[in-house]
Amino acid sequence: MSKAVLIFKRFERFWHWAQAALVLLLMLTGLELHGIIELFGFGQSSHFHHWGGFIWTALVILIFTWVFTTGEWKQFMPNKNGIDGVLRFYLYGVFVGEAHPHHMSAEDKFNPLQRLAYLGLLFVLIPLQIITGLIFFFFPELRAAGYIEQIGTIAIIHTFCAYTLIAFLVVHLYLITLGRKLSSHMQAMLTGKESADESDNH
Amino acid sequence: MKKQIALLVLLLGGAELGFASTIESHTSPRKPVSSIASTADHSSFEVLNQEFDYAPDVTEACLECHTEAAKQVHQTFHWTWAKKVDGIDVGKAKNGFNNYCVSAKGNESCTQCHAGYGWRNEDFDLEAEENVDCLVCHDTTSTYKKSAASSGHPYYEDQVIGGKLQKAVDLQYVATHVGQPERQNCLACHANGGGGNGVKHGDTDLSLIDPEFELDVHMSPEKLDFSCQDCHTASEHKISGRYNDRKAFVDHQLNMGRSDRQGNNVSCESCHSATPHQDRDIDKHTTKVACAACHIPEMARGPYLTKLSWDWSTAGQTRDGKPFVEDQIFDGVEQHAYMSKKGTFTWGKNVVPEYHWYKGELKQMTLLDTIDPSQAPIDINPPTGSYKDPDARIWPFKVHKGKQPYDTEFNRILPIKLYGRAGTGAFWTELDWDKALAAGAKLNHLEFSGHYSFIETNGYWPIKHMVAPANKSLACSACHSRDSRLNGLTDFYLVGRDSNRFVEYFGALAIWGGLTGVLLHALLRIFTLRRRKPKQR
Repeated sequence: MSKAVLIFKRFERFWHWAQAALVLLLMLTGLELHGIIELFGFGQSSHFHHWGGFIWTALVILIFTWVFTTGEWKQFMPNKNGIDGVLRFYLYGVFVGEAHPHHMSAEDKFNPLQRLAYLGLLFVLIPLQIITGLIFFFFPELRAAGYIEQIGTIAIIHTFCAYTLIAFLVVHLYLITLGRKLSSHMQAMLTGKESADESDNH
Repeated sequence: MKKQIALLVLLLGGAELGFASTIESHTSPRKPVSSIASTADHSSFEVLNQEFDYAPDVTEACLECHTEAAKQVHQTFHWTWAKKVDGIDVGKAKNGFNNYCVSAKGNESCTQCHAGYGWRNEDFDLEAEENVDCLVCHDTTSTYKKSAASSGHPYYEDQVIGGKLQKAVDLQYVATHVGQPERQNCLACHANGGGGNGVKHGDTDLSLIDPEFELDVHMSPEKLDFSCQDCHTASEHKISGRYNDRKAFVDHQLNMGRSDRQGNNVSCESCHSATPHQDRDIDKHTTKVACAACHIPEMARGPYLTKLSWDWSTAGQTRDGKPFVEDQIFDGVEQHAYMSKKGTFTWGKNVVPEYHWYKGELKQMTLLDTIDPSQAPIDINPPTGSYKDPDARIWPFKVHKGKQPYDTEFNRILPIKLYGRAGTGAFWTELDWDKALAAGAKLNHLEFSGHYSFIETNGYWPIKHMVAPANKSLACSACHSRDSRLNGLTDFYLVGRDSNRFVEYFGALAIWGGLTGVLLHALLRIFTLRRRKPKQR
């Protein structure tokens, strides 16, 4: 009885994948700028990183505009009830074949753990990364204007956020596979739809 | 061109005291040169068309028309070799020293490069106008050469010096063929400082007479063909450049198109502006990084070696009672590695410079300053500045490593009497440290306790010449990497080089920990799924 339910709207899917591409580019070029990997060469990486950063900034402004004007921000409000259930599922239930405790719908997309994680990601980590990135980029101008003398602290916060984002990405990518079928979540993010009978886990 | 260089080497024969030149002696055929300088045909001047047997007489003839020339020269560093800085005379003629031959006073051979005649001892008259040597800068014939043995005078008679014939100068010919100074005139002294071609600077040697484009984009005849004066502009015989009391450059002042730079701002920015790249990423560097830091990727980029270290402490050894010389191959070029008269050397070409903050000022130590021997190596003319200083930028330097004598009781660097007859204490004649140091101290009016030792010193030479083509400039990663060229400069955060230890630990833990957790979770899922499956059937 699969009744397809639209969970992720077109713009939501667009910004998710655009952000995925940008973050991947920023991650790789950032790691090169930080001296961890060699890829495009420092100069090219620097250019890509700056362009990527500005496009990401514009995209995140769009995302926030959308999130706040559509009321989607409510999806990110923490919901204490049920965290233990979700944790129990990931640490035990998934191994014995239990069903996911959270029922996914267009009005309630995220399970309580996701609400917390995405609240931190979208409203804390990403803005912090973008703001430190902008300060980093405009450091020569800010220094000339006398606002800031050294970039070390900003650079360290930026690096810290970058590592946190990469760590998040690792877990995020793995959790894709935790749908009813291995491909369920991936499909939802591509088509926006998840069949109703598959929508009760995440 | 080879001939020209050979001529020049001949010309400088005296400057290379103790230097075994491989150039054979040959009589110099006169090259065709014009007697017309600017709007005057100097061969038509009666006052110049006479038999001169003494160079100062030529100067007097020059001064009949150029009435102010000698007075002007007297005001310049080319003449005084000294300047009061913070109330103390510094400069090679007074109190200043370096870690090559240490001090000029007492080394009459040094004064062959002075733009004057007869600086033999303290009786030299710095006021005498006829002592100004007009010809050393204005000779266009390449036949005028100063003799090391006669304190700045040319060879008045044919002489054999070090197996080479030095022809007597034809002063009338030279005087009637004067003109604007050419590269040869400037480089005769400035390329040969410190005792030979390329010895001192690392960015100024005889290859600049006719450099390839790859070696110097400004001076190469292939393109711009700049003369020295195109940058080192002159007015009233004052040549712009760095001196003990002033910077060569004024940061961020664009002087393009200005005819008079007032002799104090020779900088890349004077012509290029401080932001010439049309690329923000690169242009934003210029507030903290000097053009030279990226555009002169190595020192001594030409065919010649530059001296990198000079250890005086080993000087004075003899073999069978005689002084000797030992040669060695340095970067493919044979050079002296040991000389009884001078000690032990190392040399190099295409040398990676050191990088330091620099505002155009070098803090010149003098022979009057006390040193702290426990702080060796002693920085004898360190550049000043730091990241926080808005005037300072990162510059490439040749740091010449010295080991030179100092007074162990007074803790002062000791000058050495090097040149002179037997009985004067001259080290190059007698190879006796006690006598040479006592004589050197006396000549420089310094007290000498009689106790001495040798101490390591650093001499700093900012690198400015031999600008490489843009495509040979330094790659970003030369500095923005873990093994950065700027690893010696730690007072700022440098992207690609610097990181915070705790953040790096956190990152490694979060990422690798995340991966491990995910992997274990996945494996456990696969394992439990396999166990469940049979039950479901």
